[in-house]
Amino acid sequence: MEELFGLSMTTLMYVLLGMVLISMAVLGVLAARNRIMLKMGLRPIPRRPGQTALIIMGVMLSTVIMAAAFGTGDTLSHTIRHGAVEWLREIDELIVPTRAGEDARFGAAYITEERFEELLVDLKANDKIDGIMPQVAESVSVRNVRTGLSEGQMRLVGIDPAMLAGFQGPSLEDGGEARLEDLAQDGVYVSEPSVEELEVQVGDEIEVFLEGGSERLRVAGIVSRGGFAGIEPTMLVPLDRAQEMLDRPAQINTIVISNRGDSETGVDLSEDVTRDLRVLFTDREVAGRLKALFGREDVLGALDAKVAALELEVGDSGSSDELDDLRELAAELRKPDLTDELSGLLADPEVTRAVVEQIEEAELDSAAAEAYTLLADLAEFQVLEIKRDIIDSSEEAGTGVTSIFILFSSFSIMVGILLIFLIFVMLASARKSEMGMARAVGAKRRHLVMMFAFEGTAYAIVSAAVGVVLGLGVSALMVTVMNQIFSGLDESFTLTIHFEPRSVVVAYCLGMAITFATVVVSAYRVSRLNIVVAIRGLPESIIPKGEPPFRERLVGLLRSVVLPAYHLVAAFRALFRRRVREFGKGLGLFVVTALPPVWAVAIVMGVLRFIQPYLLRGWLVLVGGVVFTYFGAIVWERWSWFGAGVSLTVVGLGLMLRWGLGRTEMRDETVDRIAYTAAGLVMLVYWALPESAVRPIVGELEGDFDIMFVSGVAMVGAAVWAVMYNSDLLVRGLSALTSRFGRVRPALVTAVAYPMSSKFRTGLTLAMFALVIFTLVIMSVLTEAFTTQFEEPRKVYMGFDAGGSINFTTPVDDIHAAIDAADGVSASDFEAVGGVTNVPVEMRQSGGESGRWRSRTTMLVDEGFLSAADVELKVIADGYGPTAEDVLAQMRDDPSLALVGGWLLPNNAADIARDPDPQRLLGDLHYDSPSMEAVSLDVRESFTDVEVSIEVIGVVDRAHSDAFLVIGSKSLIDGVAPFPIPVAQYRFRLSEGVDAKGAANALEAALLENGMQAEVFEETIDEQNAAGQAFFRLFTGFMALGLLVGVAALGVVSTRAVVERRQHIGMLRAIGYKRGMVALSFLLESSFVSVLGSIIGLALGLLLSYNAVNSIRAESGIEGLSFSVPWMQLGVILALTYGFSLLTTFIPARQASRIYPAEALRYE
Amino acid sequence: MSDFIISAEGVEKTYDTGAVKVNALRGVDLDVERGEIVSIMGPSGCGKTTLLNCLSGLDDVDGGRVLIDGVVLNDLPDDERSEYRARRMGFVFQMYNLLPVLSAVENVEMPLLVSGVGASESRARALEMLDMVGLADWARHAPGELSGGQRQRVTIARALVNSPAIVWADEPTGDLDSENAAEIVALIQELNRTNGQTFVVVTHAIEVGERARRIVRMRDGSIEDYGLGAAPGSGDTGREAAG
Repeated sequence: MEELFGLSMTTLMYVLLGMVLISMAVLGVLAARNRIMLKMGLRPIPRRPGQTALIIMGVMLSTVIMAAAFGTGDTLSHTIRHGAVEWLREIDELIVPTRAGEDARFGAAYITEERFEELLVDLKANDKIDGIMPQVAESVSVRNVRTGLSEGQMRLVGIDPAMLAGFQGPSLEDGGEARLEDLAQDGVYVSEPSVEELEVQVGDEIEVFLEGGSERLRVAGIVSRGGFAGIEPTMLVPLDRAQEMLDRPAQINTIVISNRGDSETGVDLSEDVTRDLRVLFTDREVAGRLKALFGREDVLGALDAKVAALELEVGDSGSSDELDDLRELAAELRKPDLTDELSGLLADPEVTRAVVEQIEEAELDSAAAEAYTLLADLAEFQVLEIKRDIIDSSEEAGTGVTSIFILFSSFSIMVGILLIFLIFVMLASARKSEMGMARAVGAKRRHLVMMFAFEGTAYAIVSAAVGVVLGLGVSALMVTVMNQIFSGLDESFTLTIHFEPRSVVVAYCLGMAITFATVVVSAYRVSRLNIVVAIRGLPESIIPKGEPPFRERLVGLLRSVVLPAYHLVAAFRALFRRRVREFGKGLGLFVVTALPPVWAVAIVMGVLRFIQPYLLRGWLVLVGGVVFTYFGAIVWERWSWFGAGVSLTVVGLGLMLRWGLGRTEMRDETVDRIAYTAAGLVMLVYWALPESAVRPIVGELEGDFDIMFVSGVAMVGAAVWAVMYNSDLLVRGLSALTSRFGRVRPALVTAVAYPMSSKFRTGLTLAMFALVIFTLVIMSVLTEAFTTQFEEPRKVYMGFDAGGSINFTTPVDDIHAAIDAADGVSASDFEAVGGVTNVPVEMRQSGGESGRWRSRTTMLVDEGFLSAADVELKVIADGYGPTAEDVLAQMRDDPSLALVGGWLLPNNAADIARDPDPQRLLGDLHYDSPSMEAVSLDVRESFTDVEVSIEVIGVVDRAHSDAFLVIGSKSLIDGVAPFPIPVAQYRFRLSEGVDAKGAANALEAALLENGMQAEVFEETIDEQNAAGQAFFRLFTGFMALGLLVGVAALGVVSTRAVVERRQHIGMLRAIGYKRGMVALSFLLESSFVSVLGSIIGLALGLLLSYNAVNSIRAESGIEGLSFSVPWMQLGVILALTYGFSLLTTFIPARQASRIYPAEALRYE
Repeated sequence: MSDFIISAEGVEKTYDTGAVKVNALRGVDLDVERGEIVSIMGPSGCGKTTLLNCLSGLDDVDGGRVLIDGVVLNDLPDDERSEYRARRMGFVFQMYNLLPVLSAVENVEMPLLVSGVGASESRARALEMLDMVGLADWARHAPGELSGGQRQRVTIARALVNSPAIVWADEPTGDLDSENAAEIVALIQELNRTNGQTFVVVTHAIEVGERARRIVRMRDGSIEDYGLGAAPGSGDTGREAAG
């Protein structure tokens, strides 16, 4: 994994490592100079091993989550990268023809060996290439005569054994060399994966079904996976033999290239080799015309504008590949001649796409149209950087997985940070009198901060290490689960656990940094204690909180802005007075405060201290909220920012109300209750409103998963706020409710009264529980909604129950006759059969302003399909309806009519308004369009350049699995293509009562020669759903790690409570509490927090997911998407949460019950 | 049946801190009559509080036995002892030991709830008790909102709410000024007169001790003076009187 959220992992590692090391060095110096504080800080650690263990566990949880995310990303990256190298070995690039030759047939394009020989001279001249192999590769159907097992789509690969230089030749499974040149005329090597499919052994006879009939070959050996044998079931034969079998004499369809170096290092040259090859294959005449076109002043102007825009975007920080390429292109275009560099750039699809887009943006439409035409003719071959692409995608996959896991577990990480904060606040309160004494005998505030920083750092050093180890363990567990999921989808894909040392360092440093920062903040908060209050153990609330005068705050702010200079001046002033020690100290402070992060924190603190009174009075928060709301709605146009702004505004109003009421005679508690309850409830009401209620006011805003985070924090915060400030009502209510429960009642009364009396601590714990449960509820409901929406196979697959693909080298002549002749099935088993071939084509608007072709896959369907399909249409063009049956009937009559899949269109008019594109293929048509006019399109088949026109007359509902394709009549292309287009897939609707699995097996057996691979759609949907659900569950499980944080918080709170309430416990025991009642009281207390937190999380999660499902349905138009609550799953989550929270409290509760009353009452 | 509500026979208690063994009680004998106010006095560390803890069943004894109303308290299992305390005893401590998270009335009603008295009856009796100690208007206030004297009154109300036979008070005026201390002692005397409850008061304060019917003086874990001179008609130390 190379990047995280766009930051290079290496840079991240160095920055974090630097920060941690500097912090450690500073702490080290401070520790050496303040040994007493170091001793006071570290002393409690070994004294209470149980509490220390609990704290380490609590502190490490965010590190566990991050390390687990990194480990999973690394594993994925490594597996894909390693898999690519194992699969391809020395193969780095593939060269495939882009044009159909004279002897063209449907499928892969071929070139003659003669043409290859011409190219070979140039290829050999390239010293970056050390292997060139002409190859034929096609898919054929095969049967093992001995076992009767078959494989419908097995690769037949022919290579020239004389050209193996630079490649590792195929090797036998048992270690020997597979010598293709020594194979008998009927000999064949098969690859390892074939053994599983066909149970083939050396010496077996296999029957290969080809266009003109079948051939029997004898297996001469089993070759290992990888290289030319690939990773799928493959047969290897000499090139001429493959050409003979496929009736492609002296033709090849691929040139395989190996770069200099081995299987690992060759890829480093991929970029250069690809550029060289593109130059080689470029038609220089076309390239010259492109140069002339792009060299036009207006086009160059547009290009320069693009370069300037990119420079601005990239900034001073560096460059991007796109910027480098476009700069070079602009420079090369200005040269008089067509250079090789320019040819290479012109042949790079990414470069030309960027240029043409820019031309279109500059509205140079005729230039764009000409460019499209020229680009289509530019190169005879396409160069595929196959290994490079896979390795890049492995990086993207790893980075993506890590980013998603970290993003989705950010609640848990945040909750983990809250827990660290909670732990240190409680540690501080436990040692309040000790700290008060220290202050009384002369310790300064910074000494207390130091003391806590020493203690916190000691915990952080250990817990981050434990966290990383456990996190990697968690990722290993997740990888195991993922392997189980993959085994259902693709048996050949197995993740191999791998951790990059860099990720381990980043996870450790991140864990350390988070803990350290939290400790410093909580230590700072703690250090501001009142000495007398601390020594006598009085509540902080007795100290009236005044605000520092304006002048003092302003001076503080100005000093923070010039902090390093301030210390420098102080140092030199000390030097001037010959106070060397002070000079050294001043210089040291100058160095520390000149570090950008330290300086930035100092300025932020200065600003916060300056504005604190205005924040507390609310008006500044209100102003900030209004500004944020405006920017969220008008500038950033995002729901999340807008919502955050509204929430801030409400908080501001609440604080203003509090300030206003505070100036009356009203009691403080009443003021707080009114202000905070009002703010909390208003905020809740806002977030509970569906988007549709707010949309008329603010218009269309963008929303993504980020809304979940903002709303989560806001809703949970608001709910906890409202609950905590009305806790007495809750206590009274519970008291009344439990009046009948006799002796449980006193335990319940204290169990509720204690948490409700420490609002901050309980609020924090409640928020932790509620946040995690909130996310889990949303994930569970969305999983349910997305995995149950496609339940009806016939609806998804347009009225069909099963499907089957065949090799297009061996098409079925007459499917009905084939069924009639088959064993195990009869024509009466099928209500309908339809034929389908998916063909990649290019499309553009007929008569549109731009000639820009867009690549789209078209599903060409035959008459059988059109007669039987049950297609739901979202929109029907005027004059072609009113029903879908009418549309299909007209498509049968007029092959030029076509349908467009719902997923190919923007969601609604708002999407079009947000991303206006005059070149849009279907104009202003969107998925929510109430009506449409027929749209004419030009369609070009890429291989043959055959062009036809079609008329789009309907939009296919997104509920169909093929709703991302254009659906057209096959007969339209059949009429103009230079070769017959075979049916590549069949769809079957079965008669009532026919066993689908049996029918699919019978079809495979009957159409073996054609390579039929049948599937039952119900099973396909089930498998997809199962895999989808498994992934969602894995994800949910990962996010549930946050619950551990909540549970640990309860454990910490309970353990602490036992210590804090020792005397109270003694008194309760004195007045007759039995041991069981004491324990019960503690268990009820943790139950109260976990149950209340769960209720808040559940209620808010259900509310938000209800709105989310409705909003997604409205946006996407998936009618099948419905809100349903997976009560079973939620029940399990809640029960486990509750169970674990009880378990964690059990030990402290037992401890509490064993406290001896006389001892407890003596305790001080 | 003897009229001694409390009888201690050769009570011993040793604390073992690992490094040092402290004989906190060295075979203490003591009898207390029903309805008596006994104050236990002595220098710091003489074992006053330990004796109170052992007599009230808050602590185990290492030797001898404690009888309350003829029941051998130290033979009872922990739960039964707790129940016994709930029904028959009340406690007043120097640091009040009120639950800060509950209001005055909730603190007072707690022993009743523990004894299984219904919620409404508990509340009514707790309010009545607060009224008796002069805090009817402060019933809904949290202990943090009350003065030291008021808090101790709440503690006394809590100790008496379940009409216990014995009230144990450990330095009940230790945290109060003299005026408040005098009020509390007067209250104890009045309650004793009205309800006939037995009070055992551990105290340093001579002005508190003197208001008791007799003063038991302790030194080094033993009783050196049973104070029976102050108790007309007893004619002997506690133990002998019992015999």
